[in-house]
Amino acid sequence: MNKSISFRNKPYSRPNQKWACGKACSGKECLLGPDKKGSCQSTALCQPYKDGDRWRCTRPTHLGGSCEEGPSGLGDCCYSGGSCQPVLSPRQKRGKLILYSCIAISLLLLVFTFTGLNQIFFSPGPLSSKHQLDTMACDSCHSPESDSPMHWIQLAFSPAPDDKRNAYCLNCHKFGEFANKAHSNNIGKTDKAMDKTVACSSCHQEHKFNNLITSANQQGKCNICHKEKIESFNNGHPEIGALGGGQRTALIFDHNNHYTKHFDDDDHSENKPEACITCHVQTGNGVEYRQAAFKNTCKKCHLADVTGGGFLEPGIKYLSVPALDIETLEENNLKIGLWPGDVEDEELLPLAIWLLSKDSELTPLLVDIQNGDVELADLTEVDEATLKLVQKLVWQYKFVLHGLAENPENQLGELRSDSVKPIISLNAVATAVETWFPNIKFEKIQYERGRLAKTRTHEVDVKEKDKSEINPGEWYLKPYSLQYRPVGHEDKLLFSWYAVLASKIEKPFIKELFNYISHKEQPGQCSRCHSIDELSSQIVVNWTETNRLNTSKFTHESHALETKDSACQSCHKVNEDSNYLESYKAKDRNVHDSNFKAFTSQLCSQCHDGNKVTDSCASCHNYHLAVSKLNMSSLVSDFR
Amino acid sequence: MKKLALRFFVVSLAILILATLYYFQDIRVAQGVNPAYDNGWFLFVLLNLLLAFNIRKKLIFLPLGKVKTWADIHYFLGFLFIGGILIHFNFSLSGGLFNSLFLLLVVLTLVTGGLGLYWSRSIPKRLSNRGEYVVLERIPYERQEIVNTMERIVETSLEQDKTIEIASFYRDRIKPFLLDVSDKNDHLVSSDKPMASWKKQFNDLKIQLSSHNAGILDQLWPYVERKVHLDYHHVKLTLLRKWLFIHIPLAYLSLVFMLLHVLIVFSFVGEV
Amino acid sequence: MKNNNNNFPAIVVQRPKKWDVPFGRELTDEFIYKLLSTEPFQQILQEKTSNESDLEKQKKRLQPIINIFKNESRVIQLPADHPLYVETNYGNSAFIVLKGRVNLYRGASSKVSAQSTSKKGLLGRLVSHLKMPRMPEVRSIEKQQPSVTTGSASGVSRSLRKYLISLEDVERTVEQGGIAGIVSAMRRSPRTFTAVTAEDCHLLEIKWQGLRDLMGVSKAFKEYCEKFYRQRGLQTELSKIDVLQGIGKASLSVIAEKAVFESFGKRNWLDPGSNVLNESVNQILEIEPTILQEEEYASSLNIISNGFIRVTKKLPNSEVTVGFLKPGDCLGLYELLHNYDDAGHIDLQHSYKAIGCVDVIRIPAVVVHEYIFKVNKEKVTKTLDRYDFLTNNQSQKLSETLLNKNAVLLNKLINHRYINGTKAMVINTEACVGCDDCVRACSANHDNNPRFVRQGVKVEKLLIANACMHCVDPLCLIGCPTGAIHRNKLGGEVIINDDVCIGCTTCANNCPYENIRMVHVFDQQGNVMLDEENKPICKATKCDLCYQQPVSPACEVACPHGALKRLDLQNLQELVSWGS
Repeated sequence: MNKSISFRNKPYSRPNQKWACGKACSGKECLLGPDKKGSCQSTALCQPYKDGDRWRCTRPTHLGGSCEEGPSGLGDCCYSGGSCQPVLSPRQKRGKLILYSCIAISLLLLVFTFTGLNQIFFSPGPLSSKHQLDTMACDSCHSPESDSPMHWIQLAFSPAPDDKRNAYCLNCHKFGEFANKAHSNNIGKTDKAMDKTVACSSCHQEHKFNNLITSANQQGKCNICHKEKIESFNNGHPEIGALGGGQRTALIFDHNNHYTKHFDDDDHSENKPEACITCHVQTGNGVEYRQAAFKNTCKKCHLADVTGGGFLEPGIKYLSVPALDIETLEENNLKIGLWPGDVEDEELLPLAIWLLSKDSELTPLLVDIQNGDVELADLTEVDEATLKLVQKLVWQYKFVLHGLAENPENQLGELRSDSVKPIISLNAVATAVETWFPNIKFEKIQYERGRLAKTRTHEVDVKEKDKSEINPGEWYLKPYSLQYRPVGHEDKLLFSWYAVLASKIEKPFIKELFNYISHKEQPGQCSRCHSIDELSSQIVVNWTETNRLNTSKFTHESHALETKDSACQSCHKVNEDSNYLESYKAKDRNVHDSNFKAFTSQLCSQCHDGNKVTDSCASCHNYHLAVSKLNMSSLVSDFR
Repeated sequence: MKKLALRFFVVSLAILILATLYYFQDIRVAQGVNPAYDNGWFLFVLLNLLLAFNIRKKLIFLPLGKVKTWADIHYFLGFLFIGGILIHFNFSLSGGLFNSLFLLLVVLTLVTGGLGLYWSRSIPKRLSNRGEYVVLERIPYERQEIVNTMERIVETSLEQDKTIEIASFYRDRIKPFLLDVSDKNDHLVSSDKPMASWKKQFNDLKIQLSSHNAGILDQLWPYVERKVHLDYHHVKLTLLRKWLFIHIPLAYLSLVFMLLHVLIVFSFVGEV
Repeated sequence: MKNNNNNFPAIVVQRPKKWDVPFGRELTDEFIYKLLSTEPFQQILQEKTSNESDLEKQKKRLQPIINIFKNESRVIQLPADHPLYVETNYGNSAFIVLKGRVNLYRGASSKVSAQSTSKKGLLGRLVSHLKMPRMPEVRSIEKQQPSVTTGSASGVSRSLRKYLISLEDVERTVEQGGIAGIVSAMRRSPRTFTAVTAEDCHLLEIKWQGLRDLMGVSKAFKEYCEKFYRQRGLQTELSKIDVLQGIGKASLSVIAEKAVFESFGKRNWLDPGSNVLNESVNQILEIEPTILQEEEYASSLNIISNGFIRVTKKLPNSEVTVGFLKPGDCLGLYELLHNYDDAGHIDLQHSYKAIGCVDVIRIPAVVVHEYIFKVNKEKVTKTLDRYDFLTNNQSQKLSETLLNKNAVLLNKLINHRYINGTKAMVINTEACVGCDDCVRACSANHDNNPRFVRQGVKVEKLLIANACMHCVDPLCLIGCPTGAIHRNKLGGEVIINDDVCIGCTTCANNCPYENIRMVHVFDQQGNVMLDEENKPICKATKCDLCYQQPVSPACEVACPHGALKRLDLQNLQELVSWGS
């Protein structure tokens, strides 16, 4: 058998039709095929014709012409063998399969979309391990309407701005008022990029999908904003520079001085620290080494300084009776009432100047006195008007001191501390006034009546105490001055004076008062170790190290360094030529000549070469320069 | 030579496109944009172009170029899609039930497409070597013709020569075999077992017959052989039709999932 | 009117008949009598009425002729400078000049071939797609009822004139009484000239069926036509043959005078019921008449005018086919040239057999020597390159010749007579996956009806499907009573005018390749159309190469694996290179 059968008289094959004859699979396909609705039309081959009494076959010639048998007596074609059951064509079956499967899946998707199941179904992967808490739900990070598909459509076309989306993260992660800005900080540069809101999600992909944003790729993220594009630590990164970004430490400690001079001194050699870690103790998380407490370190040598014991005069002079040229005043017939006699070497102190500055008439004179243009002890060459002012000054001084003892709040005014009240000992002041101006009450009454008391001097009878008799924290009176001896390290009174004065530094005469009290030669010696920053409109006293800018996240612990000095000095190399102390005189934290040489990148790149250890930005640098605090209340409140 | 040059060009073009897509990501990351958007839209356009092939076949009366050209482009885009998907997911499995289902759909579509392409190229050659060319819908006619012819031979021989053994062989073995498609699984794997089995049966019977009856049996063999070929054709031609029953529905479902994926991405990630 | 019998859902309509649709406005008997007394129909009148004096009996004798005129011809009036037909287009009718003159031109066709006025626009196609009936073979009932259709004059619009820009010298003028276009109408071949009216004309356009019928009833008219052909058509045909290029008009006219016409094989070389395609090669070779026998003396140059010739070589016990020759090829040229050169005498090296029906123009050797070789020998020698399969196989091993893939392919094509096809549907079975997209595309282009069957004869790995091949010599055109099946003027596709077809099955039976199918037709509601005697109205259907569609052929465009192509099977090279 070498040829297929002839299909000359067979119907066309019609794969385009929806329905196919059910008998086609047995090779007995009917002539007409199924109708539009899929019903069998007829399996007959002809429509018999009644010619008189007889039925004639009308099968066409191309199908064989009239058949031999002929139609039945009832006029039915002899070939019609009952109807077939039409079947759908394969293409139609496929079309139905596509349609039904699409409908089924779409319905399923609708069910998932519009029910509470949508969160489970559409979630693009588990959260990071730290966020896998029972209290976390979709609306912890997405808006409350985020389970509504209608809202999705709205969001898709008008997405929420970055700061609104950040708000969800910031609910728990507090980065301060500049949280939305670059580096979560107001670094202060004027670049426009710094004003932009940076979305948390630009670096933090919460759901675990699309590992495109991995830590390795965060390199690219930094370079988006930073104009100086840095490929990696070993490619384009500037030298590391000094610790703290070149900013000085808050505490002034000249390592060179101490190790080359002081610790060699016989008096102090026994207090020499055994190792770096004697003074630099590791903080809890191994990040850095902080200064150990005063009592464990510096006290051994500097206790006398802070308590005034090392000084001839252990206390700070707050108030005094200035030396006055009484003769000149008398010659000019200017009465000043009772004044202590034999006052020598005392000046009008800055506190007194400030107290007197409330009288604006006296301000020019006070400025001259402060500048040294007018000396109260020698008024011979002062003009008459000034002399009259001096007279007024003297009277006002007496009244101010009297008022200070009687009504301190009125006199001190804004010099008020919340921790130490009052900021000056009233008993001491009262005693001083009593000693120096015993007639002040009477004189005041007279003065108010317009009668000035005659100028008279008197002898001040004050028993001078020996230094050993003056206790730390004591206000004591000397013949012509009122002094305070500091308690020791962390003297609250002194601390309060610093704080109050620093906060009012812009006011007239406050700066001079602050400079006087904070002078490094004053007992207490706060400013000898604690640096002071003079900014444009404020003064900052650096009591601790927290204010230094730190953009790196180097931890000693992670580098598993030993605690021997040699290990410390392998990175912290001593700079013997530094002008350490001199650099503090600038009172600018950015001006610093460190005792230690700047770090070199070569130090780190021995390991951070991209092969042994990663050299990406994030491996050393913190993006978030503000410390994040977790808002526990937002978590706790959800607990039942 | 021309075909080789064309193949080389096409492969180079595919590599070029995928490489561009891959390395373009770095540029976008540097601009602060997630490159998944770019290659996602690329995949969206690709999927629509792939589905456009089906539309082209339906609107054949429009002068839009030969369907063969469209088919070649369809295969090319399909391979591009594989590369595009890997880049889009960055060679890692995504998270989440919806995304996983979506990826599964797409992978199945691509796999069925690849299989279909392989079958479309390999099966016709095999069919050409086994029997005459036949239209699937016409196989029942041929089967019926074989039945009619064989029955005629058997009836005639039974009448004239009383060949009861041939008649019973026909009735018990051959006729059930002729009525429908047999040995589907063997034919699916292009096994020679059915033909070898029938040959053996015929040989085994032949040696027990007289030479005259053996001659009659020989007359039946070409029809049985033809039927085996017809069954093979039936199974393979059906496979060539049926794979599209999976591939096309999956493709349309992928489109549905893709649209939803775009909505979800834009509503929850929010960056355009 | 709906039939009440329950076998078919049916509707009764009037059956279309042969002359239901006349060719043109009805000609009156008086006009036809007048016509018969003019040239060239006088001889018909004389032949039919010479022995009859009774007027009534004369009329009765003339009645069949009158009917032919009434139904197969029409009178058209055209102004000057109006085109009748264009060179290389196909035509189905001849034009007899009743009044006026018609000029014939050469070489004006290049512009026109770009025109495809019969194709639908995209919008029209889209609209028809939307209106496409969902059920098969739906026809409009109105179109089954006979109606007079006048058609457009001459079928060629006036606007075509603007494309005929290169009309230069008039090759010939057809005067009153002359016939224009008779060659292509009778031979069903492309027009050899472009005809344009020289002045206001009255023309009688007669379909080739009418010409055929007239030649059938009147011997005198037949002789007149053949003589006309010989005088005009033969020379034109000879001038196109490459061997006779450049020999001058005078030589050509001598050759035309001296040439002898011969026909071999039956006109309808496939009798209904014959099984020539299923017979063995030997049987086929026995059936095919021999034109020239191997080892005979080469006494003439034979040029094939129509049909195909098989070239064979004798072996001790058999004969092997080495190739085929088509219209325009020469038989015996090699031997004549060899003998003319006086390099020894050789007889015919091969035998030549007629495949189907062949018309040959035989030119005696003396005439060939004198008027062809003497004048044009170098050029003629160059044409021998075409026949290398005849000259080269001497040195080839016989087994190589027999088993050469191309030779095997060729033999099968010739034996199955597929070399007739100019647009055969060839399917590469090693690429075809049986998806039926081709059938679906064909259906989409034909109101949801496929027009071919994806099955047929397998030749090597190529399948020649049952789709109309638009043959060089279409047998289906023979015998069509209405002219419903005809050649499209522009592209030459063989198409069936469905409205005119009466379903006589002549063409379907004539087609030896089973490419024409008869179908039942239905109305919009799905009822089978029956005539008054419950016989179904059937129509002949076949592939029309989507000649009216924007996308053609749809089957080839739709195949997603490039497995289907419409090929000219005379061009073996194209077939082999595509199939490899």
